[in-house]
Amino acid sequence: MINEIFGVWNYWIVFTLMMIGLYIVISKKSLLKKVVGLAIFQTSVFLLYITFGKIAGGTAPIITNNSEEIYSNPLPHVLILTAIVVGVATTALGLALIVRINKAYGSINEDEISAVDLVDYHEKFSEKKNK
Amino acid sequence: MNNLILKVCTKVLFTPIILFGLYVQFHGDFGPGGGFQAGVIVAAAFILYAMVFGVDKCKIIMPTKLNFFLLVLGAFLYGFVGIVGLILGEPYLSYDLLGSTKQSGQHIGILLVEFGVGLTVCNVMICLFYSFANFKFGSNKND
Amino acid sequence: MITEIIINAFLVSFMLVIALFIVNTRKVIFTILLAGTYSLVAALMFVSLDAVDVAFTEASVGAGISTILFLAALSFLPKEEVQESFNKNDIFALSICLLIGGLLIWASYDLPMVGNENNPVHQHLVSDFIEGSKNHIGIPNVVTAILASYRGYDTFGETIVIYTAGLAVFILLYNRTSKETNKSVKNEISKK
Repeated sequence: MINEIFGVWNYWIVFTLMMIGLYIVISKKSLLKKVVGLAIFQTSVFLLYITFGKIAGGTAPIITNNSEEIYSNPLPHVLILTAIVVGVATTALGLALIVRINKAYGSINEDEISAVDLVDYHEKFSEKKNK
Repeated sequence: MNNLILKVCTKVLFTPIILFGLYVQFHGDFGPGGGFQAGVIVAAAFILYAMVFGVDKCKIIMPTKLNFFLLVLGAFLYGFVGIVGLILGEPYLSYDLLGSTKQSGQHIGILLVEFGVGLTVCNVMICLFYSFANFKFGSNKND
Repeated sequence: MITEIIINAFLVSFMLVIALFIVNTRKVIFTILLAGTYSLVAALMFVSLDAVDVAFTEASVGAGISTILFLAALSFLPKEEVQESFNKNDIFALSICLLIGGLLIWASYDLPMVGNENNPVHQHLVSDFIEGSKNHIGIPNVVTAILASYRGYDTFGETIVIYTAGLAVFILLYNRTSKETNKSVKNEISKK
């Protein structure tokens, strides 16, 4: 039983963190908070991949002279290594978009942005009607 | 910012950070490290300089034009190494024929490719910081 | 084995606490600093899972640069979030998260056990890569060998993605007005 629980323990943690990230993305209205939530979600996915590559009793995949050494799986490491750097690039893009949104709308709260949009829409609609 | 301690510390730290970045870059074959990490570390040195001395001072040592030139050069270097392999008669991005033996060819190829990655990542990070630092908030609200 | 479990449990509970604090804070600067700490603890977790290269990257990129970018963006953004009471939307989000999380945890019993040598992940390709890195490429760090040589196309694509993202941010935040006013001034001068 104990072995079974520790065998899937890491997965549980990953899924819990993933759900905390998802909760932030769904429920928080601030766009900046949503980006942070996405970052948490992303990191939990990285942890999932690295967990797949782990071998109990293995070492980091850097070849030593000892021929009987067991190495953890390096393939997930490569995928995640590049994904982290791409992740920060996309985060920066999201932040740039948020800064532009704040400049155009004067707010980064979801509700306020949609309220401004609604007002704009009604103004345009009434202008057309008057014409 | 007019804090003497910060300025002196930045002056002292600037070179060792870049040196550490280069170590990570070229020691990536033998230990943890490589182009991605090295690029970020070198960029961190420039960002530290820009934060303490101001972006305008930082643009003297890393002008925007040089930044963009290196940004493109890194990606270009990566693609070019692949094309050299193509000309020598192997598949794209395989480095067997770059050196006298297979192993030395692979060494040269990996070194060049990692250097290209490092250049691009470093300059993209500096470019991101410059973009955020230069952004003027109140200039054109109707845009 | 037992020390590994203790270290793992400590790091994991640390991460969970930080994530829960991120949900609750309203001051944006605390959110950003907590997110940086979260990345740093995640890097420690990667070390305990034998992924040294990934830990290095996460520590320098996730905890370093992305925190700086968040702080740089914060200088143009409101510093505090709007106060929200716990409402119907939150209950909806919470129930969805609990449902999906429960399903995922239920499904986790079908996943292969962590750290087992006979998992399907460890059966294909990897032994070739490790042997090839030793004999064909001749560099000790297998991750670099795969990154730059065996999966060179992949890394090339990633480099182009980063390059494109950098240019996109530059275009998004570029101040057009100064150039345009310069042009219009020049035009007026040439007309005269």
